[in-house]
Amino acid sequence: MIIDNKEIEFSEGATILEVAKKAEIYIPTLCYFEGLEGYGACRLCLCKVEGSKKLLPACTTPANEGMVVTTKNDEIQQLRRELIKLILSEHPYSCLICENKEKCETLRTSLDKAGRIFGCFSCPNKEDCEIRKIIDYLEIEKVDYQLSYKNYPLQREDPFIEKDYNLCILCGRCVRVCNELRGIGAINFSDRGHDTKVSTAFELPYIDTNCQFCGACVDACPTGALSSKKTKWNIHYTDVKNSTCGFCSIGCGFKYFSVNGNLSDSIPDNESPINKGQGCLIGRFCTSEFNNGKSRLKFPSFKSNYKHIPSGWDDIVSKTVKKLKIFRPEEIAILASPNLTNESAFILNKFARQIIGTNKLFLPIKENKVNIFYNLLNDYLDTKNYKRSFEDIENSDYIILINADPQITHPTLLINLNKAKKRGAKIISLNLSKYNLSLETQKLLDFKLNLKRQDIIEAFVALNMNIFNNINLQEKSLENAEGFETWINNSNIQSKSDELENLYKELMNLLKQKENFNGLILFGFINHLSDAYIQNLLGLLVNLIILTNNKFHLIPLWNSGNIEGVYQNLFYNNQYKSAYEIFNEIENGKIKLLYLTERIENTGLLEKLDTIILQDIFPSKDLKYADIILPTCTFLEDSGTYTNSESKMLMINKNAKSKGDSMPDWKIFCELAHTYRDNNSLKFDYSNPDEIRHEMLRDNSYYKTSDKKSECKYKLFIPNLDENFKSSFEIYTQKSFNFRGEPIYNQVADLKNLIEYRTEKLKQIKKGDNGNEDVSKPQFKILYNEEIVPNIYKLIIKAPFIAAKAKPCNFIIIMKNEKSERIPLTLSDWNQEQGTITVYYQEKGLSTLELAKANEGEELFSVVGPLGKDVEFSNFGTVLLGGGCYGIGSIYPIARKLKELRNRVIVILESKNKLLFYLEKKFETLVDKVVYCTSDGSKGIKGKIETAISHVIEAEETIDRCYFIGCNYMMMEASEKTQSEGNIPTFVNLSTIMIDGTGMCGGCRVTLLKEGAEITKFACVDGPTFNGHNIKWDLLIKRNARFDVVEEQSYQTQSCKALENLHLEDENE
Amino acid sequence: MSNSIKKRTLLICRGSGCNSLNARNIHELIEESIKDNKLEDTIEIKKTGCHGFCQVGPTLIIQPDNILYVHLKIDDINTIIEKHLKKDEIVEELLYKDPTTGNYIKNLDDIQFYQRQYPLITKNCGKINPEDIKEFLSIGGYASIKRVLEKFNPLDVIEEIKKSGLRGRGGAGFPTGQKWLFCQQASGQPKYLICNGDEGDPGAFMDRAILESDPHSVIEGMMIAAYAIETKKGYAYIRAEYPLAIKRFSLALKQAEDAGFLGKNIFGSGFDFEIELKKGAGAFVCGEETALMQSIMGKRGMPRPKPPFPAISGLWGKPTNINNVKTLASVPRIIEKGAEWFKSIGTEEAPGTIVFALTGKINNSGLVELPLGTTIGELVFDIGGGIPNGKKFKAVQTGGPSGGCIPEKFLDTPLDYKHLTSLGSIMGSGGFIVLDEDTCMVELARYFISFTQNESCGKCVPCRVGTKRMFDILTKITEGRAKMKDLNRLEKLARIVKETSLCGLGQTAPNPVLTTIKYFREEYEAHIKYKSCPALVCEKLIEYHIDADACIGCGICKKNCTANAINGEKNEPHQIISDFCINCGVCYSSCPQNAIYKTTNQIK
Repeated sequence: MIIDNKEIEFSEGATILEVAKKAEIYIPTLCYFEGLEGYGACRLCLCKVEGSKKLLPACTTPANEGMVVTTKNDEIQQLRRELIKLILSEHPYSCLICENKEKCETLRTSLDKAGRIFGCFSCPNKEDCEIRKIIDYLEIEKVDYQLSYKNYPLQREDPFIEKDYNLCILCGRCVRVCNELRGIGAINFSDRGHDTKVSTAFELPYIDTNCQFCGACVDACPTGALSSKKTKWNIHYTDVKNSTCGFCSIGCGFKYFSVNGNLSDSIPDNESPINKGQGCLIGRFCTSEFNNGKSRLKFPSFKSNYKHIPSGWDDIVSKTVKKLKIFRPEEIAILASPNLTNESAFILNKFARQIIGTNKLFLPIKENKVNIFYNLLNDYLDTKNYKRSFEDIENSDYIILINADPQITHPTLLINLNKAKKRGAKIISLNLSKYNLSLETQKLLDFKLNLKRQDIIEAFVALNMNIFNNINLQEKSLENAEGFETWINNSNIQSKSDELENLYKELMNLLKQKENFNGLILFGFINHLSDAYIQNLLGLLVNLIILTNNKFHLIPLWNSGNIEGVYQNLFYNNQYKSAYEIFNEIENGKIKLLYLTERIENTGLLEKLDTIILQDIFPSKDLKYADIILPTCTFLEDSGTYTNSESKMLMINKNAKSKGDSMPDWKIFCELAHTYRDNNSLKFDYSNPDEIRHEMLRDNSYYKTSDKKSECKYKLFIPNLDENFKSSFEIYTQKSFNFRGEPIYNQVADLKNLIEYRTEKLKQIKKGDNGNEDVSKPQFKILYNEEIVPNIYKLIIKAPFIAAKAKPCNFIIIMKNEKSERIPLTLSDWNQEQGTITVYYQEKGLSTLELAKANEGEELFSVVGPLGKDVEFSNFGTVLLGGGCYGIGSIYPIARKLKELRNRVIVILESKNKLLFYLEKKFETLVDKVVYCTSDGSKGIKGKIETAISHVIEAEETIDRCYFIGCNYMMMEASEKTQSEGNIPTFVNLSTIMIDGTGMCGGCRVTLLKEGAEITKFACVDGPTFNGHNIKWDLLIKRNARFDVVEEQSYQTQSCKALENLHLEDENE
Repeated sequence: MSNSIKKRTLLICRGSGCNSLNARNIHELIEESIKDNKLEDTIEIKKTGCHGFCQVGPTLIIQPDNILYVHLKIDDINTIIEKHLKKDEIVEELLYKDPTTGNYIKNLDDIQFYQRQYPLITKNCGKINPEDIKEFLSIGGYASIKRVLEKFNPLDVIEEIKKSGLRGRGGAGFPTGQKWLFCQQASGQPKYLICNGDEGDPGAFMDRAILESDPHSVIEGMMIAAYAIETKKGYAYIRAEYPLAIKRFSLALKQAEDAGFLGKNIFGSGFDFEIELKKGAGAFVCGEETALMQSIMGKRGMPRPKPPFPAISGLWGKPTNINNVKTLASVPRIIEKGAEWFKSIGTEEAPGTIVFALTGKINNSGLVELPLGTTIGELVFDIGGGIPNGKKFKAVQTGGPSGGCIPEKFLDTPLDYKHLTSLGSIMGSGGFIVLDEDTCMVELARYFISFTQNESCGKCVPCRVGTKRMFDILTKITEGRAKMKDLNRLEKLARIVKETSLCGLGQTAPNPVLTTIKYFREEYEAHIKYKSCPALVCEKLIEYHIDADACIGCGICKKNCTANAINGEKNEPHQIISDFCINCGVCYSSCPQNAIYKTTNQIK
């Protein structure tokens, strides 16, 4: 194709914009975002394509053979100028076109730390603003429109993220990144036309939605509309460096910003091939706060008389060495933190095994199973040539999660899983029955089985058998196939459920049919499961790989950042001791000195030891027992490499200066080694980790390229199912996210609040349930549902969140079943403590009939609310309320509120006959006067509402305000009456036909007359309370009657009209 | 006497228009009265769809007499039965009265409204009971699809449609055969077919009338299209605001299924096809094809740029063909009578007929079908019967909010795609709103822009922000606050919105503004330069006065005035105090003597 007279090669499926970008031809755009599909909304990338009458957006138009594109000419530039001016007409632009712009930029070096952003001078996105870039490019100097500022309130109630939608240009990047890429969908567009905005469902704060606070929306925003709360005003960093995040074993690339050596912000690196600009809550928002934690250990110290006394490194090093020399080498054990860099681990290995002479190196319990994994890989596959990568996830056809919850342990991997799902991959999960997966992980699954420990093993034995029996053994030279066959024949295992049986069938079919089938296993490690159990399970998975001829990939989801690298440096071709073995030896008194590079928080053990040396970053329970404290550095203050779960070695760069006198781990080990043995022949005088790495790559046989492939054994693993697998286990939660044992949430206040808020919320939802229920959906249990007077039902529902936020005039939308119509009902009462809400409804059609039939204890499919605009109440004086039918119940909370505010409250209750009144006692005790009116005169005044209003007006001196709730006809009559009686301000709660309740469908359209003009409002979002004198009642009543025919029909067929197709229903009859 | 009663058929219009004027009760009453009078054997009653002449509804046609009774009321039923049915006497006062001659017209075919029409798509409308498949079958329904399945292969069908020159009746007028071919040849399975019944233009009701009056023709058209593009699944997207259309269409679907016309192995040919009805929630933008598809998929109705076109990547990313109701309803006729016959109707460049919803300031409003190429004047004056109350014709707005205004000097322009586009308007799907001298063109443009502005999905900048800015400027003009440079800006902005918007909604939204500026520039200038609204519409630019000679001092205006701006003693002429007057116009419309008049600034 030809772009701007340049002939350019392109790949199939690329858009013009992508091709141009590669060829370094700039096309301005605001809505395009790498990683997302083209959107075509900002129109700035419009280009001329030969043969097309219209200009085409480069971001969505696919490149074609022979296409001739002009990206820039006077006409196009002129159009772009006009378009950007339109965008600017709703985005505070004065700074952008200011004559003094340049001068201001140089003089105003610090930001105006304003809440509301009204110009670039106070905008946190100033440096990265894409609008500014485009304005410079298009040379805009004047905007022909007055600024139309939308004046939305600032949204600051959420942790981590602050929103100022007055700057939003609706490019939709945040929405798309959240939906398309992350698969979360916490935000979307609401309203339409000029009022379109980005919002969560029902404009809830993010914290009340399923938002994961990954920050992708913030980083996708081209303006300052979304910003990171903590770093909103920290844009004047002095240094920025790329590095790798070390909090989990993905190894995401980040850009780390620092101010004079202090870490200030971390933003995912777009260039990183691993995470491609995406991050997670921990990496994006918690890194700097964690790293700068106030309680960081800063000075080396030693214990004297139960006190820790700081000292210089020389002194401490010599004291440490003295302690080490007291004991025989076999009396010394060293705990290696899985957060050490490869270089530090390499030096630790050298120091421990060759200087001290101990082999008692071990890893924390949480990573205790690492040796099983690598031994199996070593023995049965080929460790070094066994390639695995996160990109495999995207290309997989079938993904099995075993005890894995990536949303909790490896959040960024959800993107890969989401991509796989979009491509059509099937994702299933097998996990221990007590292990509740997070909702976001569950959302991805096609199928989920909660199994008992033994059943998971047996499921894979059965799967092994299925495949084994279906392959042609001659094709493969497997070492112990016969042994395996014998074992199988004796093992007598059959799959226990139909579900599993179907799973095998499906998998077998896929394996047979798909030539290049890609399978993937994500293996999560749960603490404290027995070694034998993990051995068997992993062994069976290894068999799966062998039997399918490498059609499956296995990715371990380690709990810590550099476990693989630490393992390879300390235990490759070296003796491995498990934590339990070491603990036993401590119990038996065989080990006397423990050198910790990560806490163990086991006081029983610590008390048994003679000497404890603690090399850590934060204080912990262990501190009290430590004889020597060696403060060290995080991955942000050291350089080196980390090896992630896909066995890739990733560079760590020093981004911040070390805290106090703390030193990197490798340096501490080197110092100790020097002092331990003067003039030793081993090299310990490195000036930087690069030198260490050089040696490491040379000396550690793991890193040497070898021809090991030829000796690859390829034998089948034979499980030993006689082992007793009984053991306790610990579930990994967001709280367990740690670095060197220090939980991240301990240091990050917002994270702590977030976790606590959401845990509490889950608990609340769970409360009142019978325990074992799925927490994925709030349950709305019916506590009471009785007909209290003819056709009027009282309904009490358990809905603690609605109860907590309810206000008078709010309403809720109920769906009885998944396919029911939505019924809007005004809230009548609520109890925050009991978490209940009460509504009164009238049986008036099919859906309310369905609701009326519901029994106590049943659950409603959904209850949404509280909805509707809040209504301001104050001390008005004398207020007249009127309620009829269901409105008697709905008017009650207004009466209560008005009484709280010390109004004189008069209530008219209207009905056809006295039998239809309810809540009379409650009203009589609450308000100043209750007037009854009935059509037949059976109680109170004979007549309709207007008659009763006349009565009240005659009796009262003044009426300052009125509220009416009832049928539309009643509210119309009442409003007309109060208008003719001297325009008493009158408000009504409209009952309209509502479908979605978000302002989109338009079903609840209401026409108001304001200053002579007709304006359209939507009762669900603009109401339901309106000034009764402004409503065009005739239109409203007509509109409500519009569906009468359909309603009638559906009532006859007793099936829902809104969701089912009528012809389908007829068939069912 | 009773033995002399002729066999007759009564065709009662039960379209939405007549229904809203009590046709249901009239229908029931007729049925009862016929039974009471024991006339069941000789009189057949047919419930039909729209007769087209909505202006005079509720209507009743008596065949074979070919009599049209209009403006029926409950009380008239007895008269018709007693006189016409029993005694063979025509009830003259219920006949249609020609407004120009004042004569009652006895023969339906002599009514000018019907005389010039060419019912092709609406052939069956008002003649058969849309709720009874048998009636449709009795007039040759489903014969075209049967023929297609027996004698044509898919490409033959496409060739036939291509030959006929049929163009999409949804607005843009893309050649239908070509569109089908694209989809037929696209790779990817399954493919989908959509019938677009999301008619959202204010004042348009062509699709509704067809779906209500002749749903089986649409189904048959969909079947032929499905066979041609080789799909097994069709969606009919009809807006939920058309409950009657939905009811009748779903009934028709069920009947067609029961008869074996839909489902597996249709007519034993091996062709499978099913249709699912989807109800649209009423967003105007969902008439745009890509937004409509989003809506079917359960997403927010927002359009996406093309290419890729739906024929390549539509519903769920699969090849999809989408046609308007009227296009699909034309298809069985073309198959039945041949491409050559179809080509002989209309013009060479645009063969066939077009259905218009004739509304506005016009004597005969209703549903009209004409060969393409009929002139605007013929439609307005010959069929529409001209402007009521002796007012002057000013312009006509075709194509709804997406179209433009065409002034009087173009009355001789033939109605077809090419000519309307050259005037800056569009054919659209058939909205035709007639405007008289009392219409302010600036206010009209403002109305249409406020409509499109509200109905924009909010995705692309020119449509979301551009139309809003246009609306702001138009509001300024109607309030007399604008300067001439605002008019230039408005024109410029309109061109930008037209040129750069993502979808048809935005691309056509400026048409009413651009055409009114083009043809009625002096009216804009009057508003700007002289703060004058010549049509006396724009509230801020007019004043109300009371003609002292005509005022009888009844006090009605004074009582109704919300601003207390009227003075005057009972039985004495009243006065309006202009300082207090808020120009709401209540006095003007409530004066029984027409003594209140409006003025505006003089144009110098």
